[in-house]
Amino acid sequence: MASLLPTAALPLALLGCPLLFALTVWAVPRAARQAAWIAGSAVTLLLAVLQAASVVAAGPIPALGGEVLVDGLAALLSLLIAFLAFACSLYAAAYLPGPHLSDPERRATLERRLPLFQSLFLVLETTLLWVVTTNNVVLLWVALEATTLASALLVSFYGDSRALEAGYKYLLLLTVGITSAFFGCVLLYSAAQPHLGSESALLISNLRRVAGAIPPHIALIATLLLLIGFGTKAGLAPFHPWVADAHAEAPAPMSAFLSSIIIKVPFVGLLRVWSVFGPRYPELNHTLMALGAFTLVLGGVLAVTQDDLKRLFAYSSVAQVGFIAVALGTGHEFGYYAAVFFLVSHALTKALLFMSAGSVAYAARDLRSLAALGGLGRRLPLTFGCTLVGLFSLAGLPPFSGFAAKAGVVLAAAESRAWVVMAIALGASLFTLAYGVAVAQRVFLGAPRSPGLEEAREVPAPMWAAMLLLAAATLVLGLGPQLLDPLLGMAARMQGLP
Amino acid sequence: MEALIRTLSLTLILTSFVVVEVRSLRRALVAYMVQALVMVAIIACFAAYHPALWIWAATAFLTKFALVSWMLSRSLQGADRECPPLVGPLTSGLIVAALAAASYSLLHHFATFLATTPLAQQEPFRTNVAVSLTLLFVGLYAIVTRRDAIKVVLGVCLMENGAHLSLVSLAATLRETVLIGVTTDVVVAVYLLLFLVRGIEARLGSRDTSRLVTLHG
Repeated sequence: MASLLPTAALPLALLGCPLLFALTVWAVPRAARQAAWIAGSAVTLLLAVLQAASVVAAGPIPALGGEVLVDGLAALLSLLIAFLAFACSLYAAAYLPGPHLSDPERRATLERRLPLFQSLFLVLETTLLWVVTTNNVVLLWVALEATTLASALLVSFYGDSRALEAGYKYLLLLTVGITSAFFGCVLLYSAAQPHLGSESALLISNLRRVAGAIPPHIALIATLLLLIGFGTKAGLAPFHPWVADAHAEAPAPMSAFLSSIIIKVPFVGLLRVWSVFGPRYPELNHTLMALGAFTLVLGGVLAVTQDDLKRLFAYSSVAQVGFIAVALGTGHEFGYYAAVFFLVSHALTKALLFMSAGSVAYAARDLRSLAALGGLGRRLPLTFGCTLVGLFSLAGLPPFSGFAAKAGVVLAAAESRAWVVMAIALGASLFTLAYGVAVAQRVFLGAPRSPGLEEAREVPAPMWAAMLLLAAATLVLGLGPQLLDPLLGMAARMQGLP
Repeated sequence: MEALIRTLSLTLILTSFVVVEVRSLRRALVAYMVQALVMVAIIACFAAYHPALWIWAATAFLTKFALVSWMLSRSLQGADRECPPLVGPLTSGLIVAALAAASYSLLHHFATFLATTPLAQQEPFRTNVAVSLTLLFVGLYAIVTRRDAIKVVLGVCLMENGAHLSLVSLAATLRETVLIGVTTDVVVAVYLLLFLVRGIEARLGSRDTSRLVTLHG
């Protein structure tokens, strides 16, 4: 396949592939639609692998006159997006339309909506790939807003009042929040345009060349506006109120995709802009690190007060994006490396945990309350095992990827001599371990606390296969963290950070 | 031309005041449509400086005046009276007037701080920068204080108009493809918000957002 496609065409093929299959979903008979979705995700994954191999072998791939630029970061995140989309489509094959829909009319309504879900999910995949590969500062905003638009109906798929409320709040808060990022993009373009010309000023890769010529107050205001806009989308505190509602009400495959990658892609914008202005303006790094530490603490505290399993994992995601912000806020090359590694590790871990939560609900008559669950370990051994892998990785225990990820963030903070932040990060890891153990104990151990849990059975094969795939990826990355180095090392070195 | 553009810009603030403060949703929609037409007129005037802006003017007419207004009009479906807002009419009117006056005068005074190019520091660009951010604040005020979901969507539209005006003032040399991307996002966002609002209204029998309290945030 690689020989059939010129290297420069790979990014465009990758962007077009999910869109093509989004149309295919509508063109094929109803029975083949799920297969078309999985096939679309699989072909996209294959293209992402080829693209990553090309970048490792020959360096960054520009396309469309530099408008699209696949560097190490873009290639790595494209691969991550495609892998997670494939796992989610596999999981959804058995999960959707949803567990225990006793009302036949409601089940029929949701089944009629399934092609919309499947095709929108593929459109969403394209928008995510667009975010990580675009080199245009204004189109970065357009692409990020497009991810919100493509995912709003997926969040409210169930169409009941709770799902509609979650979808409305999700769309409204993110649209309003990201408007500030729009002003940030416009300010950056306007300040760079006299030095680069109207065409070149749009390209993020050119910003570095004129960073010194952009007035400091514009650089600071624009970067902070981007932080507010992208931070809202990423779930950084205090811009996080949408996170738990959207995660809890979305179908499990969507919750997994939301927490694993949709709240991570805004960091691409931050990573790209921060590496340009962060080294020049230490106050930006201090702000981001402080915001990250605050997010770490608040997310952890909110997580531990939840009774709903999905809401607990959602707030845990808020806490974990704090780690990424802390690492990026260190402002040096190792911090950048640690931030991206953490992003990848947490994406795999949290997709696994949301799928586990979905599997628990699937097997336990849609129960998600920690107070009502219990004793599912022997009845759902595969789900139990995968959940343990996810929880241990989340807490930063070896041999899972979370260990290297958290060690990286703590070492990056130590290298910056940010001792207080380092202590907060270590404390938050212990706190995560504590509530992780509590979750495992309350859901899987002890006696069942609700009627009907005795009859719970292991989830269907596509669901546990997707979870095993993610658990294996978490383990492999934990045993060989250097596997990411060809792409991640290239990405970090290209930033020109101290 | 400069005086005309400044007058039109200030009309945007006046229409945004009406959009937020009038209790009849149909009249608020008419005020929004007038604002959209004024936006188109401003962009057409700016085309004297940058001929490429004629396409922007046509895009704004198609999206903001035609499409968004049509979608909002469809969503009203006979409903006219706004759900009571969080702030009473007199207080709210005074707050919006004070907010608009303060933000405009402050931003107009410090416009050169944000506008880095010599052209953008001159009139009428300077007025437009101040008006664009004033629209953003008034829109945000509407989103925070209105309980009627249609009014909240109108608040989003005001914010988007402010963002669009900032493009004309600070980034008029942007390519049309980028502009089309920006406006498409806005139209789709409004469509989806109204779609969800209709769903909520069908289930709760009301567009009152203060009743959206099932989830904890």
